[in-house]
Amino acid sequence: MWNLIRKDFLTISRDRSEVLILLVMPMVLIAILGFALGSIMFGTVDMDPIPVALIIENDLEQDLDHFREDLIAEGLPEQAIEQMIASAGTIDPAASLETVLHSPELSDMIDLKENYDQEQAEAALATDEVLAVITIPEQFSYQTLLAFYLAEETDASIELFVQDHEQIQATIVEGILTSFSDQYNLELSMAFATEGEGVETSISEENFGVINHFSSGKPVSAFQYYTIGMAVMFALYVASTVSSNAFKEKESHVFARLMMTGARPLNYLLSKVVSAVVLTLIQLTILFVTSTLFFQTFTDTGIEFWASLAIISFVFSLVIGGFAAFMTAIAIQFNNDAISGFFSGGAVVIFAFLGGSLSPVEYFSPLMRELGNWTPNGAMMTAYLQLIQGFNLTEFLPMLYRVLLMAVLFITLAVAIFPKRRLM
Amino acid sequence: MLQVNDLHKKFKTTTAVNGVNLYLDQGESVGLLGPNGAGKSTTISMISTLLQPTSGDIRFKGGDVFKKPDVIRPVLGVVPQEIALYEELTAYENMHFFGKTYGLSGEKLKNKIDEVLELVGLTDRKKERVKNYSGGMKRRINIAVSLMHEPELLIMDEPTVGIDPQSRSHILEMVRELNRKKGMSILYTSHYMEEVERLCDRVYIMDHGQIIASGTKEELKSILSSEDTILIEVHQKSEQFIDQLNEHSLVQQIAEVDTGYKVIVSKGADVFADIFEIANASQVKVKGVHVQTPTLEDVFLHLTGRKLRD
Repeated sequence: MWNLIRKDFLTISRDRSEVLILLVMPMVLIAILGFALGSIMFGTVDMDPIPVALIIENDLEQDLDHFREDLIAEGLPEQAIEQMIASAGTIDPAASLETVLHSPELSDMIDLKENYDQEQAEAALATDEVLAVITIPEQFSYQTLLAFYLAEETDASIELFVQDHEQIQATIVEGILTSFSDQYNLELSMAFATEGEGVETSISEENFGVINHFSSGKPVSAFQYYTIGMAVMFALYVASTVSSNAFKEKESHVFARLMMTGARPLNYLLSKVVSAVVLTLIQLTILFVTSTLFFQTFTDTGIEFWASLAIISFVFSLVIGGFAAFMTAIAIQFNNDAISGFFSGGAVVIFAFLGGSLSPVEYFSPLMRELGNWTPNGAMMTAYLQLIQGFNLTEFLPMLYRVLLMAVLFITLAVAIFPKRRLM
Repeated sequence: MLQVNDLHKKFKTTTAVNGVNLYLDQGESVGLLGPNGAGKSTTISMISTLLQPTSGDIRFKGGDVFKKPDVIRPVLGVVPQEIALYEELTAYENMHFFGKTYGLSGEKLKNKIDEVLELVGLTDRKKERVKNYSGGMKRRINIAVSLMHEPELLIMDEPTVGIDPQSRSHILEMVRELNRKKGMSILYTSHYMEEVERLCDRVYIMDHGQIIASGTKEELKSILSSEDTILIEVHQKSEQFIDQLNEHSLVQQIAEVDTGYKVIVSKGADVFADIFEIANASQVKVKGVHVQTPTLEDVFLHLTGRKLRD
């Protein structure tokens, strides 16, 4: 068996085009995608602060008076009303937004201009003097307080005008507002749930420009994402390489010669499984280590992280081995290597797309995401990313079981298809 | 040692082998001679247990090779017509790999590789990748791999196709040595009659999936005991010349050769004057006319009306 595996390793490692596909291309793509797309889609944005006009038409004192009148009309006791007014004064959304926009974390991103009125701001927007205008309209605090304290339906909203041709900056400002809004609502709700503890808005640069696939966990950097994405994509090529090599053996009559030496057909098939497993493990190891050395992808991680990475990689390599055996069986049985060509020529890209190797699955519909998780690479990508985010092995075990099941299925099919008697 | 009985192999639309019977004794060198497409390779594939026959049986030392392939596989060496090697590997690595699949290891394996490399004359080039070898060198390594386990029976399928004269001569000498000095039984297929004549004790002539003649070389040539083979060398060839020769009552077969025509006539027939007369009438200039000792090629021509390499 080892003799067959060693032979596979030697023949594939000496084929320059295979080495190029299996090792060089993913590394090049990791570098390109990590540097090029990372700054836009993932990491911090290296650009000048965005000029943003902030117009506050809202008057807190007036709104609180207005709110007090409503509470009196509701017939609440005076003491309760005073408590609510005092509390309402501390949760003014307009002040919170101002605080956030002035925060040191956003000062590198936002150049806030507050000396405009609405008309001046719109003129400045038209001349690109500012790229966005945020308006807190009249009675905004009042409407918000009604919504929170009296559960009334209101139309409290912050207005945002952006310059259309500056999409990235516009998206960033929009993202900040959305994030502020979500955070504010969440924390206010929590404050109410904890019976009026003080509200603290916390918004920082880390909340923007990072991938958050999951409800919690550490953010994933662009290089981490694309190292995993390219690794799981190009590992698929190992399967087609191994099966294509098997077909070459058949075509050149080496397979027949091997069978005449007394080698068992199923041993030969099993050797293809093991070859693909070993080659995938070697490929993944080289990619992860090289990416870490060049791009500091997995630095600051402990032995536990690398052990879990090894476990996921091993499970992934098993399914690649199964798939290699499945394609080998079809190619040998039907004397046709079209399946390897179809797989490497098109199916890998489709799998890679569905699995999230080419673009983050957070942009996909829930159906597409689920579909991606049923591809071996997609399921494993999810497991890898969960590991990076700090999840425990037990939390992504279902993904590992799913892929193990796929491996068993592929191997079973391969054994059923592979010819046992006809050897030419 | 090897007994093939009424072997048939039918594919979808063709019958590749149609009732072949042959045998091979221990230490014998037997030739299977026939043109391309005669069914030689299919017959060999069945003997090698790689292809199931449609009907018939093959016995090795009394055992049915299809019921128990292991009766023949461990002692069978097959040199396929194709270069069945890993071209990305060196000659040494190929031999090491196949040696191990035959169960050799350690010093025994190393010694065997050295011995076989010496035999095929490639010791100095053993560390080069096979893809960089010449056609002749590839053929020699192709043979070497089949000798790693010292087979009792060596089947060689057109082992000299497309190679230079030097490599060809080396291979033929090596086969003779394996047979004569090491006592290896050899089944040698070829469409080169001179190779079969040189190497084999007995010959089977095959055409259209059937054995059309068999015996020792002398027995086969005696088929032509009542005929003479005449070689007519000409300056230029002519269809009219062939047509007129064909009409001659004493001419039995005509085949084109490089330098002119080979004509089989009834033994002792005095056709020389007629040949020159027909040549004159056809405006063909004759360079020479020779009566030849019959060859296996002539036997094939006599039996089928075609040349081996038609």
